[in-house]
Amino acid sequence: MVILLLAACAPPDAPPAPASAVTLPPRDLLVRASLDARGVRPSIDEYAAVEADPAALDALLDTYRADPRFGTRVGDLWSELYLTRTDTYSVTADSLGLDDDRAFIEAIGDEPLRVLGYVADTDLPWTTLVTADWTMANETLATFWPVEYPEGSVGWVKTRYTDDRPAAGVLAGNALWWRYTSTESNANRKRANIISRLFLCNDYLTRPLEFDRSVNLLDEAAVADALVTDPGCVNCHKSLDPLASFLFGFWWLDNNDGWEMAGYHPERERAWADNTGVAPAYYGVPGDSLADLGRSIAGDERFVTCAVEQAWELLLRRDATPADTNALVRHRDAFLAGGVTMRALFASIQADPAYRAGDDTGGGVPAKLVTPLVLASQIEDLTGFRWTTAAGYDVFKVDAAGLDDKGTLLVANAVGFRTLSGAADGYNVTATAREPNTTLVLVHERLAEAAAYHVVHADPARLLPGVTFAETPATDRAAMAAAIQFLHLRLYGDTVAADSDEVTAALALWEQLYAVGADARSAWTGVLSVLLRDPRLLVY
Amino acid sequence: MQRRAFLRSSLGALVGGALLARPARAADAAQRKFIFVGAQGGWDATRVFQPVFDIPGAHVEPGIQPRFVGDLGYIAHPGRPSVDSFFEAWASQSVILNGVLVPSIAHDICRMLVLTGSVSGVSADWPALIASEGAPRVLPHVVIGGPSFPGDRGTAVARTGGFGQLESLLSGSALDASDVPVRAPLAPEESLLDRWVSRRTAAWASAQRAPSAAALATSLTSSIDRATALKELRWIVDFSGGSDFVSQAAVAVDVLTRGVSRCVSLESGGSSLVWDTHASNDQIQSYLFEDLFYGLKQLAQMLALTPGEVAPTLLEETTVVVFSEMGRTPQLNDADGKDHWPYTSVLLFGAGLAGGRVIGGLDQSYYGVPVDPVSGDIAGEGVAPDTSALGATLLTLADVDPAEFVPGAEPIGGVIA
Repeated sequence: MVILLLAACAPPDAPPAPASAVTLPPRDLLVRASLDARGVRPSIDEYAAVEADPAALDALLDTYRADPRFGTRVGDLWSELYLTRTDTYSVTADSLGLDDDRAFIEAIGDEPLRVLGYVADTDLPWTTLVTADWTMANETLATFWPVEYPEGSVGWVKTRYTDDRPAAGVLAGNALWWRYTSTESNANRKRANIISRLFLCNDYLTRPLEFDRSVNLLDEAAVADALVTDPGCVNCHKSLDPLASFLFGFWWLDNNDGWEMAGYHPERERAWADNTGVAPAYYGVPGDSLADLGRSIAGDERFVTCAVEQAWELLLRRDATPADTNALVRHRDAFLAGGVTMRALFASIQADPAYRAGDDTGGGVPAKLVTPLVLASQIEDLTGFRWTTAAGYDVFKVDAAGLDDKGTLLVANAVGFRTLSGAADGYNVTATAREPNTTLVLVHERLAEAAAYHVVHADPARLLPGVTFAETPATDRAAMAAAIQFLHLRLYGDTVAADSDEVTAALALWEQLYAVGADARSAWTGVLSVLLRDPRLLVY
Repeated sequence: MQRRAFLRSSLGALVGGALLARPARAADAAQRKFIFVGAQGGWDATRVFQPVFDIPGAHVEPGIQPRFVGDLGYIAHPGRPSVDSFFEAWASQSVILNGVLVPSIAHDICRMLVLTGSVSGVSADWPALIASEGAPRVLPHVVIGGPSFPGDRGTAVARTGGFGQLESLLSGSALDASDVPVRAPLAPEESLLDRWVSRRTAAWASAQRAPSAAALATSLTSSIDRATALKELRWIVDFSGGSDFVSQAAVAVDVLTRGVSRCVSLESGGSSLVWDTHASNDQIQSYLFEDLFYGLKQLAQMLALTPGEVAPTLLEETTVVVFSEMGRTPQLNDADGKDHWPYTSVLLFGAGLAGGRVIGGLDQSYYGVPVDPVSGDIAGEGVAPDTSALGATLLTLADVDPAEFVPGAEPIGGVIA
């Protein structure tokens, strides 16, 4: 992810990338943009608007990006890079006196992603991520982290730490460093690399290491000397170690002591002197506090280019290539012109021919796989069904590892399908799937079945208007055909005729299902479930 | 075989093939199966595999002694009796690789390197490659535990989940614990629904024209076929396993003997980085190695007592690869722990190996020593084995041409029978 950074060294008049020969039909583009910006499919009215006037598309896309779900989507997208939604931390809920492991795990991992979401939602400059004097917390975090939290509140709120930690946005939040701990010998270098990877798109760890046999690795002094003299070591450590030295306020004496880890430790900020002996600096510019680091990152041109490349890759669901250079430059300019807001960047990318491509020409992406969270959110929006277990825990966000005390749930074998549906857990799976596999298909199937059952039995008017469950194709084919026509319109934006193959086939399936148990609700549940299992809900 | 060709392979006879009676004959490399056992966090190879008695400055664990079973030498300790009993039983079919270079000291990167040979993040790992290059199977690579890098072989790979999630999806019991009362369809209904989805998806896929969209569609139809086949298999295979290594190993043996999979990934010690002993190294590593080898003993016995698909026993057609993403420093730190080290060891046992020997090692500076590319003997010149060479070795054992996936890498000499 260095295309735009490399572009700075490229000739200024590089030829433009070829435009896509074919653009997605407006309806398909509407689906793509809606799922990307809101996590839900377009409404029937929105489909109708672009069918009537394709020129209405861009105005609709503006409304999608203004949707209150936009921030959640941004947080979900960037969760693939932060990898904070994981199953285990070095601290357990039990050690902090909490009895709800999953609430504990969910809350920690979401802290930085909620900050991203708030910044995106409120049109704050993206640089706020590393300069804010606030964070986000929910009622769970408030029980063990030193944050202001309105008594009696529930849910995520914008708040502040109460221990006078520096203003450095997510850099000063606990979650990132609970997820990425350090050791005495590592001396925050891993954490420094996370900062570099997330905000500068520079991952030191992807560089091949050459271990110089002339250095005696058994000699601590020789190793320390090599870090500042050996060219193979200096290349990284010269810039990495000073970054690491900004982070000693999060230096813990015990990586398993949640109470010690909950607070920021200003008294340890200068502990770098006893560890690496390298003073804090940002690529040669000396600094003092974490706030200095945040300001330096915010002022670094690479911060902007990195955000552009991240957004590009997350929205196109492919890696950037040198052929994308001109497009990335355009989006960077739009990002800057738009006040470095995520909405401005989204708008620019969603207008790009590559984003709107209907074929492979010019590096376009004619089809991409939904993420597990988008699969879940679109079905929730369509059906009202959210797959939760044990009073509200989302099976798409929490896996089961380490939850031994939830015996009854484990017996039920139904806790957590995040990694099985293609999401990363940060450890065993470190990248979100870009192509479907067997377990995603099974998760999709069971989710569709559950959602269909819920609609038919609890809220039939939502997707089956006019259906009384007394009619059969023999007694009232027209009413049943109308319901199926409505489903095609609502689910896919398709207008199908009452005597179309789609309606005829669905009614035939209804009759086959009805023959099994003579139960109209079961038959409708089955029909709806297969329509929800349509590939268009996975590939868009 | 390229990915698309693999996906086009017929899946129609998968389930039937998994249940056929098998003749007993020797398995060739193309039929060889693999079990990968990961120890996450970085093991201290000097506890079992790598002697350091003559390396100045290296910490020598109290109570250890060198021991040989035939020509295979290892480190014995009274607190690790399972290590002794494992090698007493299986040394002749085991190869220890020492001094394998993993050119990083970061867990994430090392895991990627030891399983893929690169840090690209897009390369498929050894089990995914081996599984997808073999004969069509319902679930070519099943991940019961541990890391997985499916790369572009994602349709060949499936995780079971740590607590029976795959089983619950197959049976429909996944819906039982929903906060909102819902239920899965009855079996006759489910059959009708699955056939509908399969037909409609195939029709949709055939309409995809753009190459990348068509590839995605092909992956989806292939995955749906596999899911349907798996549902039929769930009546004879229990994918749920348990949370301990031995019960997970039993699942591995089951899917291999039935021909459901070619590769299985397991994890020893749990999903977190329990082997990452920056403190109390000796006590924790000793316990973990004893636990690991207790599990490996059970696994080896199960493999030896279970019929293979083509060979008399599964052990005769299965290679077990036991690895950790990195090694640990030679000296103890202030917390009696050990930190990360870029050389590790790998234990192989089972089919296809020139067993009963140790290959490679560490020099006086704790760097890996070069080995002869043919004999595997320690050589005066050359390079130490690295993760690419490890990959080339495993791919060759599986009858997969390593040149396509790890260009320039040669199999480590002396490993393959």
